[in-house]
Amino acid sequence: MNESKPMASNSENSIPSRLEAQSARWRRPLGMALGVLCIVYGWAVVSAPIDSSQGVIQKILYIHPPLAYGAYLGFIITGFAGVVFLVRGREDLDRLAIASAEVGVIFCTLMLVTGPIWARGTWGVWWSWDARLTVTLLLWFVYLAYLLLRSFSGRNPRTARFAAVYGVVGLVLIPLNYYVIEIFGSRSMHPENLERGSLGDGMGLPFLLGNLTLALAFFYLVLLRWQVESERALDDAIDTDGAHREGQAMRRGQSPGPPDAAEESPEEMTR
Amino acid sequence: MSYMLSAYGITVGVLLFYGLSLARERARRLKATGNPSAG
Repeated sequence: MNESKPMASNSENSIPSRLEAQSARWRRPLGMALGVLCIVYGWAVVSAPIDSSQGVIQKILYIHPPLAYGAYLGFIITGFAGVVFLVRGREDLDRLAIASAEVGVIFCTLMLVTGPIWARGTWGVWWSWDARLTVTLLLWFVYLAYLLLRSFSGRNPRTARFAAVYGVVGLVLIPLNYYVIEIFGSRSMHPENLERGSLGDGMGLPFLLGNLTLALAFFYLVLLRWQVESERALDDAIDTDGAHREGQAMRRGQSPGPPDAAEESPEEMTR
Repeated sequence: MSYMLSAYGITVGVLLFYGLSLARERARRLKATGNPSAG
């Protein structure tokens, strides 16, 4: 098996796949729903009651946990897509895993930014090596490493398989991250996980809208990133295929023939 | 108030920037290949 050949060469894995083409159709209605929901969410946050003990900074509640759920969702999709890729060899799901990991890391980054802003206003410090914060940082590093692995190694099938296993193993941190406060009990500075009825009067609706809006934003961005990944894969496949044909023609001592749209550069000849 | 606005501003700004970057890359690729079906 030629490891340097792009995975797109398999005829069962056309680019874009049927699933990718079907999913892309959801992006526009999702975008419209997101636009409407953003307005409603903004209104709900502005009109939400101000917390008597923390003041207005408590309204970060309507964005910080939804970002965390988005990050979890991104990494879970990466793990499941990785499993399907390993079992069935579905390259479109490998591309979904990359898209989902990237959006998940962005959500996780924003969670790690909004959390310290909230902490500075309530605890008086930007950061504490609290169990929840430390495990969250570890989770961020794990999936950042996943993205670095994917971006530096190209479309190598062996790397894709390794990354799929890595993405699945990284999922261990999600339940640990969620339940770490219960494990550490009173030693944690971070508030406990929200439970039904634990929010004050009038805070439930903006929190629900925050979760819905951020979930829609998450799915919209994943679909968009998945489409981009599919187009990058297609371009890479065209480039490599063109270079392959040029190489074969040179070996036979022939002229490479008419160039494809994406194979003009001299670097292609040396690949 | 400024902490809350910073948190929302950074989140909205980053997500918008990321989404627009992806949309711009798609538009550039579509323009290069002239593939109307991918739009």
